[in-house]
Amino acid sequence: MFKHTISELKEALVCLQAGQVTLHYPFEPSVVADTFRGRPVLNTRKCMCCGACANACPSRLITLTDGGGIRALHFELGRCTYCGNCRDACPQEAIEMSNQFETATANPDDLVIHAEFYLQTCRECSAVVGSQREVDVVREKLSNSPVRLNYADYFDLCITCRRKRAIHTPSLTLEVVP
Amino acid sequence: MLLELERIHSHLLWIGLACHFIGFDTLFMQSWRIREPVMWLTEYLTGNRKTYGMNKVGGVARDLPSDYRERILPVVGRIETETLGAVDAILGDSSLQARLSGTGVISYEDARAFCVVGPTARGSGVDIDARRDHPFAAYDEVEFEVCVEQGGDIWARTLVRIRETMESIKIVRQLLDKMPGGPVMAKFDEIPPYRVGVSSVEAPRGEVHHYAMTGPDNRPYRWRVRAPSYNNLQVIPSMLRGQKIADAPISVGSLDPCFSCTERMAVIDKDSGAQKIYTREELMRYSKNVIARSGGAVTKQSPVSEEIASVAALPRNDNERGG
Repeated sequence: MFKHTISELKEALVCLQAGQVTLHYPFEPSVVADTFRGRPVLNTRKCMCCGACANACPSRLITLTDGGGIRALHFELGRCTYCGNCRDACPQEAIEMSNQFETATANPDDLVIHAEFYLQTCRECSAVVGSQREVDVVREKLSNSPVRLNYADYFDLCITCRRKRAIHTPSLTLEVVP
Repeated sequence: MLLELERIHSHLLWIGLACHFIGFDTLFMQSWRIREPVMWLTEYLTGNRKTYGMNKVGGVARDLPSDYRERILPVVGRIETETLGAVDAILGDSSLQARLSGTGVISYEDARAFCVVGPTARGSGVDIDARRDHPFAAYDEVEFEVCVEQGGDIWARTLVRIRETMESIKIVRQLLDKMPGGPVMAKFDEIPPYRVGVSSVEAPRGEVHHYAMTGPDNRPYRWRVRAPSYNNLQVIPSMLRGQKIADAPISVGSLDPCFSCTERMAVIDKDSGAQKIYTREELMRYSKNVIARSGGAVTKQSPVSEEIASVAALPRNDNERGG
């Protein structure tokens, strides 16, 4: 009996030592760590719609669809596991894992990211080359590199037409400028 | 190391829940308070409180922050002193002991017959632990004791979990001393398709087995998880036989069952929202039909197989808590 009373006093001590530990959440913000992986945010100014994120997503919630001259990038965040693979895969660093964790909503459309990009189609066979932004980014990167492209209109061609062109005149397509 | 941090907070969570089931909410609150710094720590280390997303094919997704040692040691030390204080208090609590002793008894024979795993088995005197029996990760480089109690009742399971929490703290300290530097990912080319891999990991609740078959395009083709709750739930009928109804919640709770880990697949009609549970015969018939239709390999043309594939692609593991 005596032992029991002592242990009860110890339990009381455990509680008293702790003091108040709860926050007045939601009336005061609950701060997360800097490294926290919250809801992904897409920076549409940086994104070039290459689809690396769609390839990396283990939940396969990122989809690319072409149609009507537009390539649509679609995130279905209801299935997101916040793994951050899309952020790690993005060559443009356009995806950021924000610190938003209050994602509960009654409206499923709140958990959707939808971005549309103009498509670049092939000049000769009108197959899809890529998004216009993607082509622009490659063009810009190439202009800053020592490699020169001899056909300026090379970007307007799809991969099949480029191959045809390269077979006929292989030496003319690329040239390294010293 | 993360698995041991996970075990610390999972066992503290269980102690809290067990106390909640028997109406001892003071300790429920206190053990969850003691547990919370581990969650903050893992949020800092991995970017999330629970779903760490660390394991990847070939290594881990990200390296630990540079100041991880300074972050982990004080938290672990604080948990140790606080847990010792709380445990010291509950071990002398005769009313708690009287409530938990002799209830929810799983005999050694039952534990063997139903193949229970984890703390549930070790509480019944079955000396199994995947960390020692099939060493994975770095468990062959650390010293730890496998905690076994002979009682078989809930009190024995409580003691096992309390002692394991202390062992986990010891393991974390050893790992911090021995943590090597270097790259976090191994280099590899394309993953060869249709190879099979099986692994067994000692999760906080017991052994969790993963079976995976690689598929084309670096994607898994088959993936099956056997969560420890699946084994442990089977023992409930024999455990509850002859008991009072008032003992049922704490008895079932003492297995620390995770139903969301055990039930892994539901087929839902996208249009009507109707759910369907397939029986074994239906699944067998269905898989034979699909294979016959697609000429040997399951393709994504069938809408149902696509749904199953998308369900299977959701990364889940036993470390996750339902809520």
